[in-house]
Amino acid sequence: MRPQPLLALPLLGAALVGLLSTVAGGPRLWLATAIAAQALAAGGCLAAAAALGRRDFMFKAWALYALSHALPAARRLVLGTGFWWQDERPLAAVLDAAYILVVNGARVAGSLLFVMALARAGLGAAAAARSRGGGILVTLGGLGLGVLTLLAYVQSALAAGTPRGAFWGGVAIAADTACFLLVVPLARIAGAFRGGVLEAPWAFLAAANLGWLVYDASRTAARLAGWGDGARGASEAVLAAACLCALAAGLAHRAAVAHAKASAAVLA
Amino acid sequence: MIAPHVPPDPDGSSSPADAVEAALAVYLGPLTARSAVRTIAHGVLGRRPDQITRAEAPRFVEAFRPMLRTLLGDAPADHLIRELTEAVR
Repeated sequence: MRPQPLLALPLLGAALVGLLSTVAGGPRLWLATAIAAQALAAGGCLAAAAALGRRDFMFKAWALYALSHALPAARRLVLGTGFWWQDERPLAAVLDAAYILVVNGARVAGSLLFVMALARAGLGAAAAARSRGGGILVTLGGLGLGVLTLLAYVQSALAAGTPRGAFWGGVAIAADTACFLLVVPLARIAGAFRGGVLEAPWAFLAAANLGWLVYDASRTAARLAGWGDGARGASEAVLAAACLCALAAGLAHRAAVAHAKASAAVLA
Repeated sequence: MIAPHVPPDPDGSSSPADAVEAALAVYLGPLTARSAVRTIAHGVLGRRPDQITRAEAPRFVEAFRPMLRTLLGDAPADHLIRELTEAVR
């Protein structure tokens, strides 16, 4: 599959969520769009993993990414917009901790594996040879944005009287920031593969990670500034785009693997 | 349409390194494919890519297996290595 049709997935998804938000925006719609987008992202990652063998390096990365999208979709299906930390029973605290650690740990570990793939393939020098100036600027910008978002979120959650929410929400934003810092190496890898079919998976992964931090930042800014549903609609459109970038990345890598298998099968 | 792995070479005039580079460029892009071919040629055979002979080509091609396994998985890498080995023989 060529990257151009795949690019339409996040663009159309974000446009659709934005349009629906202006027509019928509200918590039920945003819950439904988030579940759909994360389920599609998980499906794309599973599609990529299914094209590989279980012992393949990239299988682990895709499986971790699939888990990091499937669990939030399942949580939203079961709990809606709520979290267990609104429940005071001890079991709820354990579930909170397990959920946040598994989801965010899977996403950070998956992103790290995608970044490590180039070096493991013996091609590290190809990405390192590219310009560093822009990468440093984006990294510092991302770190600053992540820290500001983290501080603002924790402060507002503590003010609302939900210390457990502040802690676990902070852990999630810290993981998102870690993933955002990996946008630059992911984009470098996509640049190293420019003109090849492996460019698209890494470019879409970089865009997906970027989208998550923009989502976090926009939600925190909206909460602090007291913006209404219009801003929420834009945030949810960004979330949909980020998830559909993960779907596009999975489909692009699956297509690259299928191409390698298909042409060889013709020879055999 | 994605380009074929190994471009046709009816008169057999292209070198083994050129054939491998063209095939890898489909996946890695032209710049990284060229860089990979140079690195492997120097690291495995201690030569420039244009100095690799057809007799050395199978060993040269085999050296790309770990890279292809990492990026595309075991089975596609095996297929591509077999295809490339046939093409450069």
